[in-house]
Amino acid sequence: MHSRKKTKAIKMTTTYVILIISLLWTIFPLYWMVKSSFTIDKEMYVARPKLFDIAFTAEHYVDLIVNAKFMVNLGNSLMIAAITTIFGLTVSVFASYAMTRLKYPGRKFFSSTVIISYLLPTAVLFIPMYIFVSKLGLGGTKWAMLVIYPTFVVPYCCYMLRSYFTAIPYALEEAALIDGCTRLQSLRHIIVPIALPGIAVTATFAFTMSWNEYLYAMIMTTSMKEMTATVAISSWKYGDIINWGRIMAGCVVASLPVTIIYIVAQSMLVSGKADGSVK
Amino acid sequence: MKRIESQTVKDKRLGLVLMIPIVLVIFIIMGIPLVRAIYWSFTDKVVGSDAHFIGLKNYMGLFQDKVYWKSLKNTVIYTGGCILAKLLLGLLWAVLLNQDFKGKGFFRTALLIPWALPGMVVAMTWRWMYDSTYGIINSLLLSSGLVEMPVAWLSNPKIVLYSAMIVNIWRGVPFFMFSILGVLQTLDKQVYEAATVDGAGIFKQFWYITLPSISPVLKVTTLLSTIWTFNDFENVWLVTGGGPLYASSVIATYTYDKAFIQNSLGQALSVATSVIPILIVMMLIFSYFNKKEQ
Amino acid sequence: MKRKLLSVILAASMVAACLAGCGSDAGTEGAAPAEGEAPAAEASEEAEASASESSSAKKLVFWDKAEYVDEYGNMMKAVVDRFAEEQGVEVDYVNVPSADMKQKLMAAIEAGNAPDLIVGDDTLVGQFASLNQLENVDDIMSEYDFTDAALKVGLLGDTQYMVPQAFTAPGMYIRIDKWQEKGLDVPETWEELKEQAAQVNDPANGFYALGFAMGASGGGDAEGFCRTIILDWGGQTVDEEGNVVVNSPETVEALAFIKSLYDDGLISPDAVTGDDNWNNQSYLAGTTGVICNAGSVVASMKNDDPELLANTQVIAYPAGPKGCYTLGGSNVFGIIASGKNVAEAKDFIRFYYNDMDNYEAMIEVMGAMWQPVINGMDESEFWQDEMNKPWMESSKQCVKTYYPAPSDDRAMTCFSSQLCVKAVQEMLINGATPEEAAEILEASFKEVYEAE
Repeated sequence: MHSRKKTKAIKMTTTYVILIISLLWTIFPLYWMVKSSFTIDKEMYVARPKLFDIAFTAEHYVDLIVNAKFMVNLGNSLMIAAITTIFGLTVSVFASYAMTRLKYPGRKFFSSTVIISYLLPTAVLFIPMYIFVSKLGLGGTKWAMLVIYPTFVVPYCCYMLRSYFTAIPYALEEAALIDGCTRLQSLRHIIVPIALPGIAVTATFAFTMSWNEYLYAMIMTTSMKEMTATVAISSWKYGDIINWGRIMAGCVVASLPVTIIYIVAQSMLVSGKADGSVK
Repeated sequence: MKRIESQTVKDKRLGLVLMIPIVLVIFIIMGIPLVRAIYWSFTDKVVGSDAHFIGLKNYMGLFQDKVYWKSLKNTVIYTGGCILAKLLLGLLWAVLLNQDFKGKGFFRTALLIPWALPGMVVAMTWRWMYDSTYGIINSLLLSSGLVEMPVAWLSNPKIVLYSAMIVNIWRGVPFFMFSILGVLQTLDKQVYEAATVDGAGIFKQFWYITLPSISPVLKVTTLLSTIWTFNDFENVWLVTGGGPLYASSVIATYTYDKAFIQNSLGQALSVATSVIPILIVMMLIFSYFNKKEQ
Repeated sequence: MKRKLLSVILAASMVAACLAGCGSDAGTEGAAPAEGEAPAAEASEEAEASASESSSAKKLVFWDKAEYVDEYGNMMKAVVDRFAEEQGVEVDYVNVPSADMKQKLMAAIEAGNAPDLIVGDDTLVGQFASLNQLENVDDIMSEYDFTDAALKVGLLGDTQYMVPQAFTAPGMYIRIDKWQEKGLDVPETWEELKEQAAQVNDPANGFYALGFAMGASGGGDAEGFCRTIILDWGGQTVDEEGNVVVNSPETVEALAFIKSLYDDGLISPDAVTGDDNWNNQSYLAGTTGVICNAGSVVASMKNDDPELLANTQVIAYPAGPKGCYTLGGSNVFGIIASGKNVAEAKDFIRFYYNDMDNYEAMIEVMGAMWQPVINGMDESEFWQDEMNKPWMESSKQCVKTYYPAPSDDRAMTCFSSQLCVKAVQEMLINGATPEEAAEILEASFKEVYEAE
């Protein structure tokens, strides 16, 4: 009995040691980002920066909001990510339902196409894609993103939702169908409520994906007021001068919304409902 | 009988209707540019002029292009190394966090944050920490006496690729962690207790109980992460720019370099298109194993 | 229950975000359909955007290079607004980060929605002449009193394709306090600089005597430095007739000299990835003694570190065994020939130069970073100032960055591809000898010059 207690103590100590090291590794870059965003230029641009001492300043944030008008870019990102998520999720819920529950010609073909389309490197597509959206008259505007982002959000949502839907026993639905429910009613009243945690997780990911996207947004937009948050931040490199204070402040602000969503959704992400093992 | 028949017809119709948006997104928005990209990879296309079909010339050119092979090799190292590290670390974290102890919730939340951040933000932050002049990493290493000369994180061609990999790993571990942790939590604790009574050690328990139950999720997570890492552009581009002298160039950054720095769109697209078969083969191997298991 | 609550919160926050986003940016039109059928939302946005596209045929699109000095952007915007009002032309004025300018231009030209007017580095804009994208501006160049040097900037063959906006001449910054500590005078030759550097060098304390960046990422500082040394040693990359003559004993010696600066540890090993920002940065941090740079470092020091400015002297470039060259770039206007508003773009450039007082003010607001391209500004108080005068002098003595190659797109492509930097990197990173580096240089230049 005594030795068992001892093993447990060793186990717990090891756990804490490893986790604290992991925590430091995770937190440090975050700390440095936040710290830099509050450091005055004169202290930031020194050869051997110090870990702690800090002359606190909010000037980078003022600069970010007043001079760089970063709120406009945040608004763009929010709008694009929200519309893309809602659109992508709606389409994917229906499509995933069709792919898991309905029999129709070409079902297999559609399923595999969805996955394969997810493989394609952005590098192949971004120039032809730019031309495509320009032909639609959306070149250089934020609206271009609403056309493009579904191309990676929809396959991803389908991929995730399919596994959630497959896990729901067919018997549940069968009973409803025999009672005279239509397919769409059964989707609405049975499948969606059961898979709701999974759908929420998928929504979180879809939102983050659009929010975080960089390469397409960088090519598609030129004017500051059309840029998304991530692109705006990288544009503060002026020829041979990099405005690190503003960049770090922008990074902090751009990270906040998704981080908050993740922290809120955290319990769901790791609650065992994220993997489709709905019981 | 009649009712079931009409149901089948209805299902068929509904199924096809529900696929319309997918067809729109994948076959039109994605398909048209893709066809154009693949066509251009067989032409001498440069920006602003018409494309002329030149057969396989671009692809033949790749065989003699040292930088292409270097980028391909780097891509494999980058993908393989990052995935392995993320998998092992993610597994370790998940197993540790699945125990009962004080502060569990805090650790879970904190360790998750890197995955929420935009990749671009992560790349910029690390680029700033690696900075040769103002970088905190070298400053800490020097003042702690671990090194005598600053480490050239982004300039030494021997380590620059690893510097970029560290950034990818930093951001990617939480994805593995919470995918695995999600399954671990559904496992029945009694099975472990029984195994302990039977005298099975921690490692035996892990090998015979834990691993088999998480393997489906491990596979999906690994596949997704492999696709993302293989196609990763922004991380490498923003941290190292593919340099110095292509030392950290990967396929995605080399495509960009060919297209915009060297202004040869046709060749650039042949670089990018040449790896699609690799990705598809990867996918097929994955689904083969997946089916076999089922 | 808890989970359900969470999902509701998530969904609600997203809808709210969507409403907020649309509300502030697109009015109510975007928000309403977003909640209903999403494809409908997209369709309506497409229609809306293409409608605005067709109604804006007479809209001058102007991409200006974003500058660190915010005041510049405001002044240019004011000019644009006045032009728009007086001429009744709608202008879309966009500040484009210079690092992304080339990619964005290429994508836009390919898609057929290129801007009408651009401002950028001469070597960047010049490349678009080769793609037959630039409009002839002979007429504008003859209408204003451009300096002799300015008249050469945009002359490709015998046609003017670019209108210079300002010179961005380089100078050599030297930490005069460090030099005086050792009782040294400012160097007059490169060899002398190297000898002095060895005395000042103190890497153990994080101080490197020389800060010559050698990264192949982006800007022109490193390429300019390599080419200066090659010229000063009597070598040439391409001769006046456009023959590639870079593989010469002189070039090999010049490359050997560059290599020796790094081999002797006078320059930080980081220099091989140093971009145009790296040398500014290391100078401002006080970790390097000498850099070659445009006036931007003065601008930063004025704001952040007057003490360092007092310890700094900007000197003329040292001489080599066979000469003393200063290579200077410039900012130029270019008009995209395929644009719909070529005439309006030309009118804008005229409008810009018609108000000479404003032009002078805009140059001055950039500090000494920019030097005028119009005659007769030397006498102003600003350019008589001790701090600013050397930059004006430098801009007059400058030769083009690709001297003595004939002005054409090939020369600009070679410069902006940083062929010399890549050859030097071969020596520093892959251990190539100067002879091998010269061969690599020749091959890479020939690839550009001998392509059909």
